[in-house]
Amino acid sequence: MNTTDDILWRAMVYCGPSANRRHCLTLASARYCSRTRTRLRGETVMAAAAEKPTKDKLLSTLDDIEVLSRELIEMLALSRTQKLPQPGEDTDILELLVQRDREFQELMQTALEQGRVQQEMQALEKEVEKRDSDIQQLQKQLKEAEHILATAVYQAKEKLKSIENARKGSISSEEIIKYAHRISASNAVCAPLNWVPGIFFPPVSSSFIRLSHSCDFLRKMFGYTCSCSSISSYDVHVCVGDPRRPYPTDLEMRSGILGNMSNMPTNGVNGHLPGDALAAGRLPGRFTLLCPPSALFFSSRLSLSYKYCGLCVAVYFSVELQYVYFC
Amino acid sequence: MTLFTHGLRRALMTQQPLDVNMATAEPVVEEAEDYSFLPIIHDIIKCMDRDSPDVHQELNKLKTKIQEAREQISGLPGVDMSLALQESKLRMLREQVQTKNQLLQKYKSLCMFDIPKPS
Repeated sequence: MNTTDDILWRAMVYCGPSANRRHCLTLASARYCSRTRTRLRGETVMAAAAEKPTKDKLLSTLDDIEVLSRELIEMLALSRTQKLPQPGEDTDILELLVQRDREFQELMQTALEQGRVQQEMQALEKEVEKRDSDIQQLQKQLKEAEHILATAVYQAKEKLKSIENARKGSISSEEIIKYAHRISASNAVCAPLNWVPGIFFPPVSSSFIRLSHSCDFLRKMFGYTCSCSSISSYDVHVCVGDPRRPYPTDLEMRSGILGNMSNMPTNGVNGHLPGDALAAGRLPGRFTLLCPPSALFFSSRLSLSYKYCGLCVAVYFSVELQYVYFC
Repeated sequence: MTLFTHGLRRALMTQQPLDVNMATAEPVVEEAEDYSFLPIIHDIIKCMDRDSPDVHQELNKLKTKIQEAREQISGLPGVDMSLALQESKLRMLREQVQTKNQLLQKYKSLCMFDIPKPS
């Protein structure tokens, strides 16, 4: 129910069923005017306490204008036929109407200003959204950078630890070279230069040969098949032994993995480093003993494992502290 | 009846600029007159004075103008809050933008690492 009908209904209730519409409307408008005057006085007090939205104020003012204008027009129409019961009432209504109209115009100006401010606020909100997305982007990048740096720092620390461990257990290069020299000095790494397949005994005196002039004696003594290469009058070189026994020559060693280590690709074969494939037993080829088994007992720091593959003996052994001997 | 027309005319006249200095306010006044209902009411009263048959037409104009004003008010942006509240929100938004700009500037130009000077 709008404001006018509400006022009319209340007036009719006040006046009773016999009252006519115009009388009720006049009474209602009079009461409305006095109420409005009271409201206007009170509004300034209440304004500071709870400020209504501009839209509500506008609609309220517009309703007041509608009621007052309707009342004024009806009063004027009534005054043409009969005398007004309250003479000053029409002036009051007029004053109120003018006041309300002025307020409405001010409120409309305020509303237009608020519209401009709202546009500015929308632009600022877009700006805020853009800044938020920039901040989120920056946050993601910083997080990523932190992750990369943390990984790099962790890996660097691990490397430093392993460097420190290696330093603690370091072996001087002279000691390693001495050890290698001892291993290789006794022809334990590769065959002597004049070696042929089989085992050469050192030259024996001819008297010994005269005593044992047949290879059968040697076979019985040593259990090897033997063959005589040459017999001279004083120095006899006897070749005995198993021709199948692997004893790498210097040429074979140099053409092996160790000899070609500098030529191996850094990324390994098929992505695997030689050491990895060797440890897994997957690298093909012939393996050769680096030293006779007896040499291994010189040091307790060696560990080894044998692997027989057919006629070859594959040996993989490693020194502690990450130095590897293999062929 | 003439008293009312005089009163309304006076009320209308008070809204017009009185001197040249107020010429800059003309657009504002023109806009104010667009939203004023007094001219239409004045026309209605004049028609009633003359017993003109255009009274009903003028009454319809007033009714239509009130209805249009209502629709216009409903569509106005930013009137869902009071002016003071809107100004405080605007101030808050400006501060937000300024703060975020400063934050971005600070972190983009921040040097996280101390580069050692060569001795």
